[in-house]
Amino acid sequence: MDILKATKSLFSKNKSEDKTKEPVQKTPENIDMTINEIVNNLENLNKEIQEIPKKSVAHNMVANDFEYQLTKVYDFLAVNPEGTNDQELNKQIIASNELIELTGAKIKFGKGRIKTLKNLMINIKAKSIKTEPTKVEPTKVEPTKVEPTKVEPTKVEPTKVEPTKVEPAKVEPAKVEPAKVEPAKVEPAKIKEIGGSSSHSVYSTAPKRESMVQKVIPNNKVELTDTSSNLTSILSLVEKGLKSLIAKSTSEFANKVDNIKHFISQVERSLDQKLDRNVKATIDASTKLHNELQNVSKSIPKDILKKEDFSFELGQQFKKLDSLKDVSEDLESLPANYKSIKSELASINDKLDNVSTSSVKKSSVKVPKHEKAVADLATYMRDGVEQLENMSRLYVETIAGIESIEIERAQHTEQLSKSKDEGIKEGTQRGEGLLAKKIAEQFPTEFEEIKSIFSSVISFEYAVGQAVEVTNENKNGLMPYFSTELELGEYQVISSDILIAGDIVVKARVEKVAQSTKEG
Amino acid sequence: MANYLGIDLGTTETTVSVIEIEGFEPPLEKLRTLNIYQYDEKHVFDRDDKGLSSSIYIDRDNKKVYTGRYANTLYASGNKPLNTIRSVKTRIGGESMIQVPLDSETQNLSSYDMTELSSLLLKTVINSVSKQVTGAIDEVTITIPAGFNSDERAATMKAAKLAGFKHVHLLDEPTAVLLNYLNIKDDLDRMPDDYFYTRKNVLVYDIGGGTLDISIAKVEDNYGDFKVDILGRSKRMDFGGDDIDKRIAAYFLSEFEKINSSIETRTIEEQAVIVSRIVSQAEKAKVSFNQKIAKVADNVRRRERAKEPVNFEIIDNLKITDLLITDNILKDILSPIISSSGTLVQPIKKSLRDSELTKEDIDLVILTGGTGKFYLVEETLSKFFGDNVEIIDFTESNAVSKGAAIHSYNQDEDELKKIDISDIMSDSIFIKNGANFDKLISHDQELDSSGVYSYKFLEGSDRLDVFLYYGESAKDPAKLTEITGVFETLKDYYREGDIVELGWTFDSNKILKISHDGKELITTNDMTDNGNELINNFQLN
Repeated sequence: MDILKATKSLFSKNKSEDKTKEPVQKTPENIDMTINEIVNNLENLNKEIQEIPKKSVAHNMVANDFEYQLTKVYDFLAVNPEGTNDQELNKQIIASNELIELTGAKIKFGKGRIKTLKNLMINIKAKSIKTEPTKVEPTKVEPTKVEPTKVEPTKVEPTKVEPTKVEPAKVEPAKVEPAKVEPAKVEPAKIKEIGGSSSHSVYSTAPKRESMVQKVIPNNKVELTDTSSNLTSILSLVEKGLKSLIAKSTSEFANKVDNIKHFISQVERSLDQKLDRNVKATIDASTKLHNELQNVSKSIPKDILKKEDFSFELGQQFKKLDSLKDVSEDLESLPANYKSIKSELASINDKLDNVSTSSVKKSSVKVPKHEKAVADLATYMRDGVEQLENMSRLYVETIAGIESIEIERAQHTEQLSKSKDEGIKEGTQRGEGLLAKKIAEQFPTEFEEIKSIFSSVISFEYAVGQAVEVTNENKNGLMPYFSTELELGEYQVISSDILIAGDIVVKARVEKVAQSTKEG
Repeated sequence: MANYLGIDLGTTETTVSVIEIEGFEPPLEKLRTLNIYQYDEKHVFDRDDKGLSSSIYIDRDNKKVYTGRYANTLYASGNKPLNTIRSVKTRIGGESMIQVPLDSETQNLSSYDMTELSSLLLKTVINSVSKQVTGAIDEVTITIPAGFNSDERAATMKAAKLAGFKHVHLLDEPTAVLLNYLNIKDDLDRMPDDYFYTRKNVLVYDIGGGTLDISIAKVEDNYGDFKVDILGRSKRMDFGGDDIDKRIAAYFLSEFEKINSSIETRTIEEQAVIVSRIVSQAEKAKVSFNQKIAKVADNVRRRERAKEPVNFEIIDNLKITDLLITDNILKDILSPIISSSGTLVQPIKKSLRDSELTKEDIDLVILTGGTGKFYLVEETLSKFFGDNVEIIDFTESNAVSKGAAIHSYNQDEDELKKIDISDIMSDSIFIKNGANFDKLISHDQELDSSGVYSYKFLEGSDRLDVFLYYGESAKDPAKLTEITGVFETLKDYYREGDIVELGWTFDSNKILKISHDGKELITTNDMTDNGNELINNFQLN
């Protein structure tokens, strides 16, 4: 987008540096001069195109230089019609120049710019006739805005031109691929040819331009019109020439490309064939080798030692050998040893005799006499007896303790088993109680039938048939056991209450004894 | 030495906790639940760790009153229908009375009001406490349902005074739970210490055996204590675990009647036996299955396979056999309760609407009350709130009384975390002026406040008729309930349109007093003396 903007601004208002310093007055004279110059340049270009060989370095250089010069011319034309040097314009020029530097965009002179150039010239003509250039300004700006899209493809060109400098034949196949790009490639060729021929002349004319611009040439409308129409026709001619050139070079290039394509396909085919053959041979050889290896490996018995095992075994054998060697050496030295031992034994006997006599002499002085020995023995005995006495006393004490412990243990065991039994009994009773309660609550009728099973946990307060006298004193104690509303008076128990594990589960049913009966 | 008491005066059961401080011990280490001595089922005086069944049996002949298990046994057996009473709490504050006959002379009736009966329960508590705690009781806090109106609060206060308590404070049950939770939450590993550094919306879901209470509070850490704003609360609903049991019982019955003839063919007595048996078996099955589910809660497959076989005799050898209770069956039976628009969820939605919140605004749910243990309750809440809301299981039976004990402690000491609560009542108090009902005390009235009401005479008179009502709105006067009223003859005669100024005060226990010309005309703190025969002349337990 930046590039696009930059180019837009360039097309609309651009100025070369020298122009910003010294804006050239737009007069019919200097316009004529400039146009003439361009015409000359373009004519020269036509000639030079023929001379400079295509795709050469020189060709590119010339083309680039020419483009630069042409841009200057174009800028001059684009800006100058207004004939102003107002600040706004200068700002735009500076900004656009900065943008060019920033983006590194090179202004190329493509189809689009040629067209713009034409339009500009037409506008200039019209303006110069009116001699009121300021009004025309916007119309000039507008068409230039449309162009950038056309200019864009021209930007691609330099990159395409560069490979031509390399030239090596190897690169060609790579070039073959973008067949679609071909027409685009043709454009630069034309431009290069144009630039190539005109570059020199533009360089030379550039300084002239300033001097020419300063000249005052009388206003001649007719001349300007003629020149511009001439220029237009020339430009169209140039365009035609360029087109034919493009067509020519395109067909040439296409042929070349076809040739290269053909060659590559041929090479590919032969390569494939060769490769196939080679691969087949290699595979055959390797399978052969593999089979042979397998055969060899099969022929090797399985119990054969590996290299490491073998060397280990060997080491072991060597060690054995070494030890045998030592033994044999020892055996050899045995008789000699025997002799030396014998002699040593003889000397020892002598020595022993000496020792025993000397030791006896010494002990007679230091060793205690019999009494001392007996006394010692007696003390040992006394100590021993004492010890024995202690032990026996301890034993008696301990045995008594052990006996009491055993008695206690027996008691505890008894208690334990007792309380265990009690616990089991209580637990069973509680369990039975819970079960009985549950059954009594959930299935009262059935409980009535089976309650004897739970006789151990069941009790009752009031037996069937029992007479109960309800008084103000005892009523509060009675009430929890009876299901009916109690009044003061005499009752008879119809069905007994049931207490399970101390809780009243079933209340007694009672019947009031009729007053009359009582009274009677 | 100091004793701080907390009493959870429940509808079905009363529990008491104490913080007994001797030196400088950490107060929470000294917080314990006390036993309550009472007569057991067999009329043996014993103590019951579980608490005190809130049943009363009045034996006028012997001038004795029994509270707790023995009374409950009699109540359940129906042995003394006229002498036994339960659920005193739900009837307190009104005009409701119980008439008790003499056994020896059944026509001789004597009336007792609910306040006095409540005080009997509290007196049982006080007697048990004195056996287990040395020294006087410094402060006592009694919890009441959040939905209690001014009249009911006053009646509870009076009952406490009658029982012999001094320094009594009232505390809403959900607030007590919240206070307890906030003090022990650091020990619950799930919550980060700084959790309440930012404001959190906490919903307390209290579902007991017979009641359902919901409170929504905004809780924020306030330099170590907590600032609590009550955003909304549900009306007290008479819904609880009993209703779940009844649904399961209905399922049993319908299954039974598929095979057998309808129980309607039976006599009334037999039907009563059948119903009581089925309901008690349903409760047993529910509890047993709940335990089974709790063991496999983490494993979905095992949970699906969990089952509770139900076998029992309905009557005369007619049985329900091999009826299965599974997760799916229970969900099916209880769908009207546990569905997203069911009984469990509806009051939450209403409370949220009243608080102008959505369920997404709730950060924490504290589940409390006995029925909260039932797995489908928590599951329903989880489903409703989604995974992002933490549900704290706070169904321990003493959670409320412990919170109340902490509240008592906080009256004197600073060691524990306190809550600075801006409370609102569920109802407003209205004053009747002719045919009009003017809102005197708004439901969110600040405590310890006072003001002046201009009473306009609608016709010439020297008599001032002051009547107080409570309710939600004056738009529908039929829905308002009268609390109390007075006809006061004035010194001067007033013409139509004249205005008399009445001063009012609203204290920290939400008791309202109205006075004129320096004279107290009316108070919601009913201190009328009915003789209190039971308290003064009867032997308790």
